[in-house]
Amino acid sequence: MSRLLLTDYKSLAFCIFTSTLLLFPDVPLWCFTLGILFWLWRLFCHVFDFTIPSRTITGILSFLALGVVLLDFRTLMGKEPAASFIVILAGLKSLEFSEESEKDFLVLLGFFLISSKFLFSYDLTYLILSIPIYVLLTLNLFPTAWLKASRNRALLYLGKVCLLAVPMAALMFVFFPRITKKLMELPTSSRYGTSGFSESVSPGSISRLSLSAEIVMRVELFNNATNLSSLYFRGQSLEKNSQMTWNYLRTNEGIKKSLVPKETDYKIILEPHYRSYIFSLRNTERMMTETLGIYHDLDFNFRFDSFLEKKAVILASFGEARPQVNAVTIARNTKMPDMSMLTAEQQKQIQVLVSQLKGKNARPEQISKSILDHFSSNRFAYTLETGENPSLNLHDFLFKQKKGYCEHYASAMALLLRLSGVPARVVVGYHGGEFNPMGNFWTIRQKDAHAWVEYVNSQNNWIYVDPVSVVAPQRIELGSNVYNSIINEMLTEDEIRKKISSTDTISQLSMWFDNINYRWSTFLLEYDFDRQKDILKSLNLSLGGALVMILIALFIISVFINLLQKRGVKKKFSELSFNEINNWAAQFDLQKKDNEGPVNWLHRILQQLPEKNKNSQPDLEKAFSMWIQMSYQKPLSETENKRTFSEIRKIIRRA
Amino acid sequence: MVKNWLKKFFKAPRFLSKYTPDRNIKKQKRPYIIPSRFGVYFGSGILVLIALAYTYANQLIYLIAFFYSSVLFIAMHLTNNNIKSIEISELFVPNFFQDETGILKITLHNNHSKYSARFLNIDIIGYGLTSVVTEIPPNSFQTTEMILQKRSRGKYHYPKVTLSSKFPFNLFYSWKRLTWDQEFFVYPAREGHADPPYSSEDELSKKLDLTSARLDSQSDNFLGHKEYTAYENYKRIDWKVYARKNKLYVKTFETESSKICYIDFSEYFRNVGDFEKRINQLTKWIFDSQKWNTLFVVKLSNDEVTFLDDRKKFESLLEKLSVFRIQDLT
Repeated sequence: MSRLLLTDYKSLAFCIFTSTLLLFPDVPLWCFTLGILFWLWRLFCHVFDFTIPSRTITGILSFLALGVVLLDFRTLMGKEPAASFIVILAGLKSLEFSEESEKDFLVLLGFFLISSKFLFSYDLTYLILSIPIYVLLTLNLFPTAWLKASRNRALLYLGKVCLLAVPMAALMFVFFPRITKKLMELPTSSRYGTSGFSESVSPGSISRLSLSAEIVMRVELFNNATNLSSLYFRGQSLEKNSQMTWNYLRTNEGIKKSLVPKETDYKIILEPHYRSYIFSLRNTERMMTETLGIYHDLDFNFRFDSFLEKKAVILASFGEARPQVNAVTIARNTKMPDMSMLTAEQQKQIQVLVSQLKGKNARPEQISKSILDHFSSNRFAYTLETGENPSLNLHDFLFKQKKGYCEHYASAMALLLRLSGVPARVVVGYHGGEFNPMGNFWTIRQKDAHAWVEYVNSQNNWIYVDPVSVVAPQRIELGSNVYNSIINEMLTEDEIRKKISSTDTISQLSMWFDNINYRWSTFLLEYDFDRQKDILKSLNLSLGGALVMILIALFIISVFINLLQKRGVKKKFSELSFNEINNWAAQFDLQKKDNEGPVNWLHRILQQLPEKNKNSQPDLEKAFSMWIQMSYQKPLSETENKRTFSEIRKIIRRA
Repeated sequence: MVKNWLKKFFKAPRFLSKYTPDRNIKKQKRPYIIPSRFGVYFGSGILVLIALAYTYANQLIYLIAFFYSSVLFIAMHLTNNNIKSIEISELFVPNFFQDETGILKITLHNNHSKYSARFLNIDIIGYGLTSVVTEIPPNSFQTTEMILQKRSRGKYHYPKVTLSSKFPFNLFYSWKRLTWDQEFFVYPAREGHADPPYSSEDELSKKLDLTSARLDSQSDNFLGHKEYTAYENYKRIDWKVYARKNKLYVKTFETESSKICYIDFSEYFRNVGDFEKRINQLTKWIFDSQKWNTLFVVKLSNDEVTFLDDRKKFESLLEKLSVFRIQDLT
């Protein structure tokens, strides 16, 4: 019995195990490890033919697991506790599997296991991976004996069932009314999501992010052509500093709900990052999404009213020129950095540099330019190699290290501006991305993470400036992907050109897949109650009408299935003719005897036929002779048989 | 009229067999369908998925739930049709002896023109018998035999038969029940060690006032042929030999063939010790006489004399013995 699962139900075991693996990023590590441990236990029992634990033991273990999940999550409701418990339960059920009758329950558990993955991700890759798992699971519902004897026929049968199910499912998907209210208040916050920025930036924190190729968002621009160098997606502005570390300062100043865009200038499909902030292009004024509320402050830093824990489609529009910066904000952003950590010598060195940068002309624009010139003319280098160093101070960066990533330069420039008396802050977000010409959208990944500076100019407006544009202009012009390739792979000019145009097959295929994935996600995300109402409206249907339509469709499909499976043996034409004759004779209470030959049967009919029907005798004889010819003489072709049958029918009806 | 037309349309052709009884004997009910236990779990699972899709406004979960709802709906039709196209063409239980095994023969016909019927369970109600037919191709028959046993003699109704299926996905349970208004006999057990009460032809002819020709008995210990004379028993004329030689010959047998087993019911059952044992013994004698082809004469309780000289008469007597009670003697 300990070998049953891994010998007779290998495919089922494979499905459950793979589904468990797919849930690895979404459940706590201890749950996943426990699930895998149960599988290893089962494997051990299989290899060494050990007794598998009894149901009592697995029952106790599952109750214990339930208790621990409850303790860990403080609830059993919600997708994460549910997925965690299913992973453990699937492991336990696979461990105790010893009879064929338990197969169905394991299959059902497998369905839940693989479906729960889609509570966390809409990604097409997971869907494609899960399709064979769904097929194998459904195949395991067939009788085992049939599967063993004729697997191909079973597969064909399943294919036919799926072909019938697909249109029905599509119809239900389109017309089944979606209720927008939640059924119950399930916890929606997650303890685990940490992708993207946190609310502070220190030297090395963005360079760490830039090692990840994880997708942050996809952006579709509608009204204006934008080149890569101007694609700055602002996340949040950091105004509070400590050495070269910058933090978000919550002010709640002028917070109000964002208005609904009148016209969509661009659309963002934002991946879940379990934070509340939204990345927006410069001059964005309005943003909206279906599932969450969006707010913004005076500086148009957009935020959700809750954490973003699943993909969201955000529609945005640009606005007019921004109002001038108020005095409170200026005061907040002119706050001198604390230099007490530095020695007097170091402080003096910085002061000298600041006064050199300020010069005689104290206009913010000039100071900003002087700082950029300082970076470009003093052999400052743009590199990832510095690693994480949160304790790095301004003096060491400016006078010793002289190399760093975007956050080093943004932080140093904002500090220098403030030391020069110019209100300044660090802005974090993303810059650039990969353009997909097939789908006409930009894909922004973690490696596009970026930091830049905003200062208040002489007209009291926030102006953005990117120090990386002078230290490593190629990073801004070509984007991080191409730039990193150039630096790391030492590409030739041809290779660089090829890389920029993305003409190789792998890039093309990748773009094609990304495009499909994007469309798929957009379709699923945007299909909501309003969209459904639009479709119904275009079909002149109400919600009730849609339900009736589903019922009618189900009925039609039901009839269709029955018609397809039309029962009854197809009779030969000779049998049909014989039935015609017999039915005709039955009206005179005449019935053919079992041992009666056709000629005798004819004679008996003729003898016992009522007087008034005697005149049909020649017709009847003719019909009999035709039938005898058709049944007993040389075989005729199908068409001839059909013709003879219709002639006999005519004669009989006339008689 | 419409109903007749429908009946005609859905009617299955008859399986021609000498055992096939009249159509009105067979009562085959329409198929019924309910979700199986797993089907209930599966349906609940779909509801849970829809609830999750509602809660998290997850369109992909909606899609998966709808797909499996469709599979559920199609499975219902497939399971129903798997049973619907099957007719029980023949059900036959030959008579058998008590404490011995009998056979139940059931013939199923798949009247579908295109699809095979698969994994059909046959349940014989009241006997705890089950059998699985894995596949019946379209337009074909399949016969299954099952072993029956009975501990007491008697006349029994043909058992009710349930034909059920959960194919393909075990989500639905579809069944139809057949009642067959016919009976079979369980003969008394063939038991007992007493010798049969033999009489000679002369004794018996005097006792019953009959001619010797009527009392002709035969054993299978055939000796040969001899020419027919006017005094010979005409029943012994071998007509096959006559056809070849155009001369009358009679068969001769060993001397013991003249022994005739005679039972007078009123005498035999007069001293009722163990009524069942006596019936069993009588059954054994009857069976042996049939086996050895000796003549068996029975005087029944109503003074009717029966000569068991052909199989039908043997069977008829065994049927009477199956339902024979002490009260029948009076």
